[in-house]
Amino acid sequence: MTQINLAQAAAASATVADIKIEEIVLGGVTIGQLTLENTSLDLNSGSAALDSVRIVLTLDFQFDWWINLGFWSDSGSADLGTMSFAIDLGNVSIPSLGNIPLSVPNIALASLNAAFAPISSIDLGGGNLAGIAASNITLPKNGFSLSGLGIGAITIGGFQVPEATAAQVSIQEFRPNASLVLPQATLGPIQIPQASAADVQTTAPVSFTGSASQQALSLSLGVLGGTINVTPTAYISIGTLQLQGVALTGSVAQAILQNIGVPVDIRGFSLNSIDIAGITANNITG
Amino acid sequence: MPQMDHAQFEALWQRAKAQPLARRTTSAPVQPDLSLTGIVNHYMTMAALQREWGKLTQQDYNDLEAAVNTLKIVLARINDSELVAEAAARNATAIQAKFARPAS
Repeated sequence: MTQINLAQAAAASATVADIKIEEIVLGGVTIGQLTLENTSLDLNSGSAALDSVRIVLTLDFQFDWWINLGFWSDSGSADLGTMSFAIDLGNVSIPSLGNIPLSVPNIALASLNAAFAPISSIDLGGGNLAGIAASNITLPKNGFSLSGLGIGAITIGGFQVPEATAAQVSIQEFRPNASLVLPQATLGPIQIPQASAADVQTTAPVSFTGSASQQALSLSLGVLGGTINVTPTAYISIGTLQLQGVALTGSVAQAILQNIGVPVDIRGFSLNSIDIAGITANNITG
Repeated sequence: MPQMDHAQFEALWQRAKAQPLARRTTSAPVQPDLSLTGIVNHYMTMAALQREWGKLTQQDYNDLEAAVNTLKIVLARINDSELVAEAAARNATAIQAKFARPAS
């Protein structure tokens, strides 16, 4: 048997009449960055149950005084001290809530329109071809005739064929080394359908502090007078806070997906009726 | 407004339950000199300012000062400041008795 090895071959040009791809398998999509712009969430309804509500109400008193006798006057401020009251409210039920920001882990979105930026300069970084088969190759295209020559072994430095044809070339699988990268995709506006969340319950007591504006009570007796200033502060503790029947709606003005990577596996890649012009092969051994 | 954690609230709650009045005033009392000597001293200070502003002539100021100095001699002899302090203490006792409320 005589084997011919082509160390290097090049074709000046080629045309393919028909390209068929049976299947393109997309792998797991990776998204470099997802940006949600102008997201608004509204709590439509819900109730709250607060257990073991306690309040410590603290009143801070300060007295600003003055004396004016004409030939002598004086003024000053005196800290009158603090009064604290312990108030146990027990369990409190709030029938309806509103405007509470919540985070819902999963929201299903449907019927979204996606606008993808044009893809240019695709570089798959090489790949692996498997199961390549070419049939009915005619080389050269117009044929040649040779008679009365027998060859046991041959080495040819190079040859050129002006034109060749192949009836069919099929490639069983083509797997590029690099993922297909989509530079950017924009979604939106997105209307989030109403979603129900399970009851939300705190795992630890909740404590917070609120202070009202200072209240003043003034008194003037002509030659003397003063103002009593009171600053109330409430220290509140809730043993357990439970949100019930939470329903959430909202919208996202725009979602931007950047650097989307898609692994590609192309299978059943076939080329039919190929014309190759100007084939050059070097270092042929046989 | 600093927020407190649960442990801090529990400590505040226990203090408030045990003693509603958590802190009393520590400000120093006002003790003006209400003796006649003190009053005329303040009065002469005011008169000096009025003389500088042209509201009082130098002659009137001199006459006023001479009269006050004569009065001060008598006030010092009768220990005016002590008399007023004793009267103020008696009045304070009477005022406290007037506004005293029975313990609840």
